[in-house]
Amino acid sequence: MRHKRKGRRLGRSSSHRVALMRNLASALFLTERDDLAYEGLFQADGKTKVNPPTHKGRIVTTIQKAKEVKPLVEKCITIACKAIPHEREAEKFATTAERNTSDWKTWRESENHAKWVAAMAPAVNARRRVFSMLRDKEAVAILFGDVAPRFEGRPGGYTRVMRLAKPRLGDNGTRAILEFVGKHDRVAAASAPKPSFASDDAPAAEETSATEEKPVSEEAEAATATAEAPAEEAAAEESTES
Amino acid sequence: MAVPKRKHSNARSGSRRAHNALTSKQLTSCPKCSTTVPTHVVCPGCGYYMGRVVMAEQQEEAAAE
Repeated sequence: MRHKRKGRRLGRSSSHRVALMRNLASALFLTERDDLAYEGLFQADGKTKVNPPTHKGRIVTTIQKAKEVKPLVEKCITIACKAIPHEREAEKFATTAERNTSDWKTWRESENHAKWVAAMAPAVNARRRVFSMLRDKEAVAILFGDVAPRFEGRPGGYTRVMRLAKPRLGDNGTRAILEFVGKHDRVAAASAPKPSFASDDAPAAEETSATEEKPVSEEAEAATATAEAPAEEAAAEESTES
Repeated sequence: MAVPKRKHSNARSGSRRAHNALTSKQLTSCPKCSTTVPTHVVCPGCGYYMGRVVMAEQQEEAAAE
């Protein structure tokens, strides 16, 4: 029986699978890193330069891997989003003084420091929890510094998966894009202008034809749009639009 | 050792394979550039998907490599 068996095994052992998921999730966060980080980076041959990704916040992988790693990415973002209010709270007790200066030392001894530590504790805990999932310090830093603030207040649905037409050359695997929402979002189609009732004294024939046609076409458009959209994405998109 | 008693008729093979037919891919045309594309995929020609362009042409090619 198949009871409670979740997820895909992806032809890997458990440890291999965990490592793959960590790498994929980290890779997605690392696409957001600054282009300067790629300066002076070379591939294994020592000559070819490593280029920054053409699209930030996007990786191309197989559809199965993309769907598998999506929950992990979203969990990381949720944890990071929950840490943001604590970090903001701790800002009140923080110091701008540079480390090991006399100002900093007085702050370090003061009550404010103790308060800052107490206020920061949940945020630090969140960082550690995410780090235990990703095991990549740079990815965690990018997530907390750059990605999570974008998604604050968004109730999940931070990523989307889109299928690509061309399969992989080697094994004919279906390729897909996994990306953060926010860029390349669907634009709401401009709805048809609503019939005005101001000109009630207009000829009756015109009035009826206008009112009959428009609602029908609108409904048809909406129906096709929802039918095409994957349910999760439709929900995510609607929340951005509204 | 067990051996077949009778010749396996062509009809028998044919009936067994009655359900083995392949179905063709559902194709549609891109609303933007009219390329024939499978359904629910980003258009390989113009990168159009569900009301917006998600991928410029050269990026699609780069991703294909």
